[in-house]
Amino acid sequence: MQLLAQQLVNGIALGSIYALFAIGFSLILAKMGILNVAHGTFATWGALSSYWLVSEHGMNFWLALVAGVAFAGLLGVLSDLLAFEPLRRRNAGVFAPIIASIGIWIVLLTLAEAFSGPAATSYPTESVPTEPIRLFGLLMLPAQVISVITLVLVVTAIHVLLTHTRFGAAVRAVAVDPRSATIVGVNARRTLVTVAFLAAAIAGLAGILAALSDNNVSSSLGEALLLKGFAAVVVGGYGDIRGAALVGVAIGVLEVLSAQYISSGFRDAITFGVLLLVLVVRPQGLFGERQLVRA
Amino acid sequence: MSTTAWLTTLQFAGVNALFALAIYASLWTGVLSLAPIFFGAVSAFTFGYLAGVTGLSPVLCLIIGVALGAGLGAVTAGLLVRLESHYLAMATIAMVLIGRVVILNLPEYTGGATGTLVPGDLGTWAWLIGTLVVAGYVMSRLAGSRFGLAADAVREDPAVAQTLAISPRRIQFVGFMLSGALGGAAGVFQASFLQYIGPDTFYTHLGFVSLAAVVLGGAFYWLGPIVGAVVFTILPELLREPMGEYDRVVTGVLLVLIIIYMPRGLVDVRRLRLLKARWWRSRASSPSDDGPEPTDVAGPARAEAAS
Amino acid sequence: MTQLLPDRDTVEPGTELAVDIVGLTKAFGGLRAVDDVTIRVPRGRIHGILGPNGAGKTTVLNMVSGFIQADAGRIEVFGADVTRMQPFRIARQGVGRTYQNIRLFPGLTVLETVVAGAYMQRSSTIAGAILFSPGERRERREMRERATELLDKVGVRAGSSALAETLSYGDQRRVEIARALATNPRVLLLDEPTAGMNDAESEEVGRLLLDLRDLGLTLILIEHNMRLVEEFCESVSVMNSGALLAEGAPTWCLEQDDVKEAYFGKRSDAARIATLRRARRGESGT
Repeated sequence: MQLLAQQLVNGIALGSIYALFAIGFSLILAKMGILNVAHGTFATWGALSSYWLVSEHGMNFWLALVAGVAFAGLLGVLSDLLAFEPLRRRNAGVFAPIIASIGIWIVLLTLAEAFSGPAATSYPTESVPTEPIRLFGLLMLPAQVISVITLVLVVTAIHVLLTHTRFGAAVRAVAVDPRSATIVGVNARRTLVTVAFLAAAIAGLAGILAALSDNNVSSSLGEALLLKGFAAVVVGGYGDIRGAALVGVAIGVLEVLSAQYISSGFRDAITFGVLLLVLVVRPQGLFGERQLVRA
Repeated sequence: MSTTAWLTTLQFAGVNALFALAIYASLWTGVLSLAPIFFGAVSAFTFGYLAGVTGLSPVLCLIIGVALGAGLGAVTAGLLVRLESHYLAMATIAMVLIGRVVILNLPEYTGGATGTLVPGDLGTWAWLIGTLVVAGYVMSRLAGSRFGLAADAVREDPAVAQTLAISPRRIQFVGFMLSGALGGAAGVFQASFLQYIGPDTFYTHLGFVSLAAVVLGGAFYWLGPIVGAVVFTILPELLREPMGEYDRVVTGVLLVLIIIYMPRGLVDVRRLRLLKARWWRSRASSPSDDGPEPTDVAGPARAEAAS
Repeated sequence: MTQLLPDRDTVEPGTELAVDIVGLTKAFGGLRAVDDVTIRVPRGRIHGILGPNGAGKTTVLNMVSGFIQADAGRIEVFGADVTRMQPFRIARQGVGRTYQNIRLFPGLTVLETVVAGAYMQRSSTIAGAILFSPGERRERREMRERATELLDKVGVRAGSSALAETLSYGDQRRVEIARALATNPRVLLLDEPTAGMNDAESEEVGRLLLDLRDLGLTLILIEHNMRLVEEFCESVSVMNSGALLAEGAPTWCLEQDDVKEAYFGKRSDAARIATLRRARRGESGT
């Protein structure tokens, strides 16, 4: 019982990172209609850039975290300006943005590999307290607590932003039709760029937290997140970021529990099995409202 | 670069052309899919297992690989073809990523992280060129056939295709099978040339290069992927000296640039037809004049803008 | 609501119905785009659907060809219920169509476009194509010949190896008709077949409609060209704001006050247009 509770806590902490990543991924998919497979590399670069600031320049971890998040957001904005916007202007169809995002993925991944080198690295141990916190007989690492708190804050903030503000209304208008949105006075360009920044910045945040929890900063960090994030968005449906976030947490729990009770080797396979099952049985997602199956 | 290095590069260009044709086969029916990389992985590891454990002849393994790929394509299509195009594309990318996990976790069949050695009997020019010629012939015969025109219709406008009594899912199912057969063959050849396969052999990088080949060469005519594969395999080799480990960056940047500025690729039959129409019109309007008149130049351009 | 001529019902009892639309309803959000519409078209008739922009005419056609699912009501084609069928199955029941905003396939030539329409008229297989079988080659040849005939019939002047998308507006519409005819339809739905054409071209389309009717086709067209409607349609349904306003003979329908008001806005405009119409009819009557 004690073990199960402890594993649940670990699962929720791991899942928080997946959920965080899924939020940004679903934001771009739902609001901009772009399946951005380069999203994982934004997370990688968030982690790499903050690591570089901490280890090479001795920057305070929290300042480096902010800088890393901003850098990831900047990559998102650049992707939008240099690749997605020209395609949008040309009405380039469904596949062109996916192909362009694969191009961005290649560029950012190659640069990340070259930048990080083959050796595994991690943030200096003094970055964040490592002394476990004891609560009701359960152990929690500070990094885990940070992940969960961050997720709760980000989900709340983004949800309020999208549903209760003028900006949220503008995003919804642009998501439906950028041209008509412009006519009713929404600055479509600025709205899209802001969404691109937010989504990529959240990915960067997820990347930094993943690197912190794993004690490992690597160039392949984003790929794992991409898959988990995709699974969360598929299963949760992309109409509401809360659905994706909830499923992201659930995937983390599922992984930790299956590693504990079934087989650690097939941890990922079980997640993907669930993903495949949902894709086949319920393609609109568990909480999906939008029609994702072709008529 | 030495001659042998060039020949090796060209051989891999040939294998990439097979993968690119496999991606083209489903793109032809309006589906963006990286699944051929997964099909190739399955057929290659089956080949490695069969050849290593049961000593089956490589040629038989090639046939099994093609059949296995087609079968897997059918199963994949049966499960996934209902999905909306974004999800379908991502699901096939997920297949590639999951494939690596499966390979790593089945060490008794795949060799796990260390990989497997495979016989190189099929790794010869004769086999490669022979297979490419067969694949090219099949694709060229299908272009303009009953299936080919239906595939064109489904890719360009699935709704209109339906009012012509064409079932898009049926066409896409066939596209997936074709894609699987080509991917299966490509996997066996990749294994034969490398004589070693591991968890990273059929991973994202191969998928990226093959997709880039299709996009650069042209996704609207079967010759496109072959031309694109040759260019995209040779280009990084040429860039390796000046750029070192950054050669792949060029692939990525090119992919973005091409999809923006040359979305129909190098081999673009539509543009050739437009140019031909312009040439005929200029001949018709000014029989005595060699140069085309300004109005003729504006004609097709206007039509293009209107479409 | 619906006005019917008492002495001239649109459908005499005993005639076979090609298309039977009963109580068709479709709402988008809160807006009733099509509201309880009944249109019954007997075999071998040219039937027009009229109405101002946004009246729901194209929505009706889209429901008949299966693009949109009806909320309520029933659609039958030659007695077969097609209400919940997928579009390609409806097409296999013999329903062909064209589009208001021309939808040709980019990159295909005129000939390829029409041959693509003959999908169900062909029986060759992939194996036949790959094995270079004589049957497959003969079929390709026959399809090209048939497509050429169809293009000739609908009056496409451009060469058949030209890209369909580069043709003149009128020719593009005619290629669309040829593509629909290649499916060997029993019912042809035409969405504004003469939009963007001049009078002479429209007249040609009208005569083509008569030819097709004489070959046994049933035609339903959305049309704004009143002269064409009066000259070639045997019956019409007039729609406004999703509802059926009137049906019957075209001339009679167009004389109805609420039709005039719905169609032309203010009554004074309606009167002016009616005068114009009479003047033009007199002019062409010579």
